[in-house]
Amino acid sequence: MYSTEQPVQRNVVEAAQGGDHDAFDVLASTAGHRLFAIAYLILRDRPRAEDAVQEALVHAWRELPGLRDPDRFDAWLHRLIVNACADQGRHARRWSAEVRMIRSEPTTEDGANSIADRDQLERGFRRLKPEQRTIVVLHFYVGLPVPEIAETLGIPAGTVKSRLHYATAALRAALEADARGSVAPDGKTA
Amino acid sequence: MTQDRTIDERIGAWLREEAPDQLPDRVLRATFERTQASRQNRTVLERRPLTILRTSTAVVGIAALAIVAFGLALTLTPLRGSIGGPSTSSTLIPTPTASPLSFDAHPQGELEPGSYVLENFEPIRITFTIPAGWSKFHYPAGAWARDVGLGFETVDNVYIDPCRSDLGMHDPPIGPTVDDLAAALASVPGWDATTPVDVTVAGYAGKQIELTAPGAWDECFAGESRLYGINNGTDYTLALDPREHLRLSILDVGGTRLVVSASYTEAATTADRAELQAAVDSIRIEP
Repeated sequence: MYSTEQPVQRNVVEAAQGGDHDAFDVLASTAGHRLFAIAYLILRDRPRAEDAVQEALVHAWRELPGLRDPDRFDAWLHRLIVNACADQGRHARRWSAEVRMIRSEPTTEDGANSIADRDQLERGFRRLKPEQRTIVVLHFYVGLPVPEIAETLGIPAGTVKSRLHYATAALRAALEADARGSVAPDGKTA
Repeated sequence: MTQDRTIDERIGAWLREEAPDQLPDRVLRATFERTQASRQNRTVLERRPLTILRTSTAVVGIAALAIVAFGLALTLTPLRGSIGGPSTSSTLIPTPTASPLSFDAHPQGELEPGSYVLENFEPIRITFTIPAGWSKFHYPAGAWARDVGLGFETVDNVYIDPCRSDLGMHDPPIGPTVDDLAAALASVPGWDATTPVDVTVAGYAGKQIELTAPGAWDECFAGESRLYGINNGTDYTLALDPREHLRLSILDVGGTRLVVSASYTEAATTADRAELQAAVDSIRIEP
């Protein structure tokens, strides 16, 4: 999954809730990289992902006293970053417009995808709607199960399942299209 | 090799490859500067439900609407009519600040109430005034609050069919005039469009057209309903909310075709729209 970070300490969250800036800095520093990764994967744009992280963390600081269960801090942050991404996308009007050039350098990570896989996943992912991308990232990257995604996003579990099913099917289709060699260079299916 | 792996594994591996490792330190520093200067909210215990599609902004109190109106004895000529309804003579107009703040230098996020100057359409200089509760976004350059938004953009071309963005935009592209763009937008399939009418904004004449997004676009190519390309082909505008309204004022500002986009969703209240109208009325443009 996404991280080997240790869960945040409840007492650190409680201290931050009490207005302790140092405690909040610890929380933000610990979570920042993970939030950035999530935001980048959803938005596909570094500057916007950076903006989203900053907005989510500032929002977290302001609203932290209202967090009823400190043990839910991480889940709460996931909600904040997803909403910050949605705000970025909604008002930037370019959720889907960010078309990053596909990397061509080979990976060295064990078990990683082939270049062809990456190209097709990139194209398939780009075609997903924002809410579908979000669920794909929360499920396959963050590792959240469906019920927790539903709780995080405040939507029914059935909706999560539906979106996840559609998104996975779309990505599978993209990969299979590649396997058949029927995808045109511009990404349109033949 | 990859054929033997499950789709879940392949998606997970790809996401891990794509994910950046480190959040730049400057982002954390900027965050801490803001939190150090920011008080925690110890009164609001009830939150609005947060969803993916609906924006959630800080609670904007009645105070935001109680901004003292001022006589617009400035050099402005307001749009004809108001946003999404009849003119409200008692519209609460934001108070301009003596010296406009730089919109370009302001970070994304909440904006202090006051006047802002936007200079990324050089040599055009745009000034507008907003009350509390608005936030900045980059593309198109502009600000939003709850269910309304005000943006500025230069439109390059129009999609042939918003639901079939795979067909691309008009080729050859639409002409460069205000009338060319107004005519192209008036005939966009799938969106409701009003007949373009004459308008004057901040002393600049042009055409105004109001477009209403379709009720759904799930079946469209890429799941989007794209309207037009903007800002020298770097971006495009698409439907974000079903039945969202875009009131576009297309102006000729010294040879630049500038579009002022005042948008509001179906959820926008009369007060929201009045606030948007006030922001539109506050626009000043200097070539």
